[in-house]
Amino acid sequence: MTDTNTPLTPSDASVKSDIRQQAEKKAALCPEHNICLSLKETRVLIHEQRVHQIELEIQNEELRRVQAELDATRLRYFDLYDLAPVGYVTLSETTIIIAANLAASTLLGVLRNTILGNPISKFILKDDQDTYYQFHKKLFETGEPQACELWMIQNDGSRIWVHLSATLAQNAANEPVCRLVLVDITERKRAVEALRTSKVHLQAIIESTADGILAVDNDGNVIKANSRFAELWRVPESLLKSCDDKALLAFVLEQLSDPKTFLEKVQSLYKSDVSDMDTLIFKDGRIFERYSIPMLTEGIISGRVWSFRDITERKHAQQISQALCIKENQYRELFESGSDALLLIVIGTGKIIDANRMACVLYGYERDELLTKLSTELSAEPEETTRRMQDALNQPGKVFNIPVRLHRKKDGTVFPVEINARAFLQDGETVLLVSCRDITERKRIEAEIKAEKMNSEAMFESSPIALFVIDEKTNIVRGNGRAVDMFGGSAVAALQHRPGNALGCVHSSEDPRGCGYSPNCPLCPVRNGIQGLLANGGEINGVDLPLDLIRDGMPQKVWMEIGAKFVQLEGRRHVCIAMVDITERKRMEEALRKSEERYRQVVEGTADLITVVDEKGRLTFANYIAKNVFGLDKEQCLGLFAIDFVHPDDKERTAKWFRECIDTKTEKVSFENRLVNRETGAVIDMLWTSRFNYGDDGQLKKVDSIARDVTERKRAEVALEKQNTLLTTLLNNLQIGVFMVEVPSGKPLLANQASFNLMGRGILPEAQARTFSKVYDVYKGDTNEPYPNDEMPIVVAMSGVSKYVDDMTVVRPDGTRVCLEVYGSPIKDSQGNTWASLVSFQDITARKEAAEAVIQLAKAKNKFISVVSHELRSPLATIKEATSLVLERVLGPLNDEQKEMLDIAKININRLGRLVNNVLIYQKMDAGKMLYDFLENDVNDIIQEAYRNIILATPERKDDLVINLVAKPPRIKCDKDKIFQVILNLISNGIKYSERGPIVIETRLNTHEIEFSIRDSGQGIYPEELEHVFMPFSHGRGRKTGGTGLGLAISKEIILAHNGKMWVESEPRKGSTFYFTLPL
Amino acid sequence: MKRKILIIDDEPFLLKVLLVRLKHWGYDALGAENGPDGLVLIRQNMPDLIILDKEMPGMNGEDVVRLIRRDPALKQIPIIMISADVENIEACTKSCGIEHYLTKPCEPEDLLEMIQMQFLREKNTEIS
Repeated sequence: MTDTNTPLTPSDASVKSDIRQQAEKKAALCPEHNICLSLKETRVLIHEQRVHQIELEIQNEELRRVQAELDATRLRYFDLYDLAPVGYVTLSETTIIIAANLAASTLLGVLRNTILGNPISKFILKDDQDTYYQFHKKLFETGEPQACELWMIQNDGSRIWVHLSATLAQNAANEPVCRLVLVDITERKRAVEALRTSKVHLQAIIESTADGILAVDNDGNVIKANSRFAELWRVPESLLKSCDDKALLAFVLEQLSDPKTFLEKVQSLYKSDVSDMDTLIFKDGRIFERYSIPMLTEGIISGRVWSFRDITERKHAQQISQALCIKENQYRELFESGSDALLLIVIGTGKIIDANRMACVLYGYERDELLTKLSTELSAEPEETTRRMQDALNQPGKVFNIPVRLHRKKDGTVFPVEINARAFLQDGETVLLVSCRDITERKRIEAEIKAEKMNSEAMFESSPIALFVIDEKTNIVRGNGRAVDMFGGSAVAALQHRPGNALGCVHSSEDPRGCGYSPNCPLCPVRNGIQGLLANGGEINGVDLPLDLIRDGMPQKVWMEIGAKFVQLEGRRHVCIAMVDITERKRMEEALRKSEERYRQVVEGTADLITVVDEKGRLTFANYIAKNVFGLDKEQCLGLFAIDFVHPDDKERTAKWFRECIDTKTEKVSFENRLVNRETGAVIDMLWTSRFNYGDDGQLKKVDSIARDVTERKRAEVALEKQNTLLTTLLNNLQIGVFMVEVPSGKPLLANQASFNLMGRGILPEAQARTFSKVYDVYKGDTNEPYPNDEMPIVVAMSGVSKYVDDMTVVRPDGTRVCLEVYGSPIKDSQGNTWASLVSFQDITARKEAAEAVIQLAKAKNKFISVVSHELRSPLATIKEATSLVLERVLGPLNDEQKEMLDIAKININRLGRLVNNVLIYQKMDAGKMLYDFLENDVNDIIQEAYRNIILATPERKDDLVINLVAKPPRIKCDKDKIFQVILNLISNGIKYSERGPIVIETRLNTHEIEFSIRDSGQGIYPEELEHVFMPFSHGRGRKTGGTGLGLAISKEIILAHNGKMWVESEPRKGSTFYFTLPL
Repeated sequence: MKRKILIIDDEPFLLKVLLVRLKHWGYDALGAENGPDGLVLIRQNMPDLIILDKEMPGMNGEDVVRLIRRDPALKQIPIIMISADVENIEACTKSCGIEHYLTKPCEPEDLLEMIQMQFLREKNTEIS
């Protein structure tokens, strides 16, 4: 709109020339250009032209004037409209902004062109939009101008309180529009609000104060009285409302104990500008403090404010907020000048809405700063504060007194305050007026006094020392618990008695009057000490005295440590006595002394070195052994570094050990090193047992050590080591395997080199008593049957029993087999408990093979014997048969010489036959294949039969045979044929080896056996041959007749098979006696 | 009628002296040096008694006994076994079912007694 109305400047040349050009163009188009005119016509025309021109100029002038007027109006309009102090807005019926002046856009905080087209509601607070709508609707409905006030929102979101007035108008299109005038009245509104709030605050202060307030004008008329006033003075509401001052004064005076003075005072104070304070005493005993302050209105006394405070109950209570004035400034003055911090707090939000100077001082904030705080921010107990506020909310009007609350200053300091608070309603909110008094100092002093008193009392009562006080008459007037205990548990019994009676002094019972009357009493140190103190004052510090007291009915010596001090109590002389029973301590001291003595003897009497070193390793103690070890007297050692005595080779190791012990906080530890004796230079092996002592801070304090000279032991150890090495070497060079296991675990302990070589393995970790057979691949004999573990000598020996086996085969890891002969032996301790099992074993593979060879050889021999004897038999049979045929003369007659030769042949054939037979028999016996048939027999029968046989064979020696037998011998279990053979053989031998002389056959009955003897008187046997007699194929030196050489061997085998014995006694050339026995 | 006795023995000398002995004793004696020859002679001559050596190379005495006992025509012929194997002869004769045996070297009287006993029994069975 403004653009189109911008006025043109008439002197604008370019515009002018434009018009001129346009005019010329128009003129060119005009047909009159071609008309020819006469001079007269021309003159008229020119005149006309000139007049017309003047006319045009006059018109033009008029036009310019109008133009200028228009411009002026427009400027005025601009001032009025755009620069108006109020906002103009034109709205359509649909509330769209169609025009707005600059003030309006400034008011709303937006550019004018951006405001257009927006609904006005965009700038109205949501809560107030409804108000606006009603207002707008009413305008369009009624057409009457409307006004209202509401909150609008500026573009930046801030609120402004706006007065709206609207009129209905019509726009160019004859449509109804709303012309709205906006006036920002925010400040005004705030001012009003503030005023109102302030008034309410003050009102509340007046009402909330614990004081009764009465404001009276210069004429004595009551201007204002608060409810507390009425309450305090118990003024009925009706009287208060009547504003009848005289009646009120009368009512007041009625209650006072001294109304006259009061009245005089009141009258003297009126019209004076003196502030006054005094105390009113009521008839009913209440006491009020009265303050009287002149009320100033613009510097002129306009009345007087009386405030009354009930201080009856003010012993513990805090002065509530100061009395207040009626006018704001006076209220403020009161509020500000209060000695207590006053805070006004909105209960719901906890916001501090007002605070006085003291509050600022108390909390350390500037006032503005304080007003941004929440009450909880001032409290050090915010939860408690919140709870209290809630209480206040629930009980409006009640004055709360909180004796102690902890609050917090700006700098964070927490301090105690005493709080008085009262809640009241203000503008729909509950507000709390809080008066806070810093009671830090009071609290501190209170606490100090209390603590001091408590301490003294507590000290007196809880003292482990018996304390009692005696008066001038030496009677006990007071005693603490411990003292009462000492007096036998009864305080009543002890009080007003002398100490001797109370304590049960032996001497007190010596006189019926008690303590102090015995002949012994003048010597009593306690009595004398007390009397001395009572007379002269002063004090006696801890004296140990033995007292003779009755304890448990028996007189006993009780040691007491007694201290006493003169005290003045309630103006009288007293003595306070402290007594400690130190009997036990004395006893302990005695015990300790003895213990120390013992310790000293131990330390000095021991053969061990005892040292103490400090945290740096310096010797602080050494016993007399130091001389032997360090080569220095024990006193000389002190202060020296223990490490300096250590052998150079061990120094580093020892120092390291010491450091490690400290680092790991080791306490008890043993260590070995070598020391060098400074005197003799001898190197001494020491075994240290040390105890490291650490302080509470973990730092090493000292090290106590006992050290023993182990040089000898070391030597023995070295010797033992040598021996051990020797044994180990021996063990490992031994060709016999040695393997030892622990009992009962079966854990291998030892295995020597040979055992490794033999088994192909050493100690296997998995080897255990139950698994040896498996782990070491042990088999039974030549089989692949695992050796039963329980039968293994090492396992058997674990149960304490030795065992030997030779049928063990071990398969080595390389697959080779080895036959072992194994001895298992238990190893027992001195108590006979088996603690280990040891096996020794050797390779018997070769022996086994040899034994096998022997067996094979024996087999071969037997086979050979068998074959030979059989092979001999056949030709023997042929020779014999052939010889027999000739001798029998089957083939013709024989001469004597022929017959003799053939007889010789025949005898030798028979002998050869017997030999072959005996060889077979002996071989059979040797192989254990001979079968015996043991039956009960009469040995005499067997002998008789043999005798008969011999006589048949050799009748010529019949007379030489002598038989001398036990009659009716017990029957014996034997093989009759074999025993017969033996007897026959022995008799034959006897005959064979004796050409003449008797052959005596005898039996004898011994205890368990029958003894047979066959004695000849022949050539006898030489001693060197005696042992060979029973060997096969051995013959006596003087043998004459051919035997097989097997007879005696066979005979002995037979007797041995009968569990009998066979032997020979012989003397050369005198004869032999063969004996044998058979068991009964 | 002379009793016919067949001797089977691989020992030719013994065979010869025994044949002389048996003929001397009045028996009709035949000899064979091995089992197969012996069996042929047995079948040809049907002897009254066979004296058989236990140990022979090839077919031994036990084999010969088995073959004779298996042949119904021959099985009744009594057999005396002789052997130098004194240990096993008894067991052997028992298993073969032979009653009599002699060990080498044997006494001529023992042999005669055994032969006579054999024939006596035979006579007895005939009588009965």
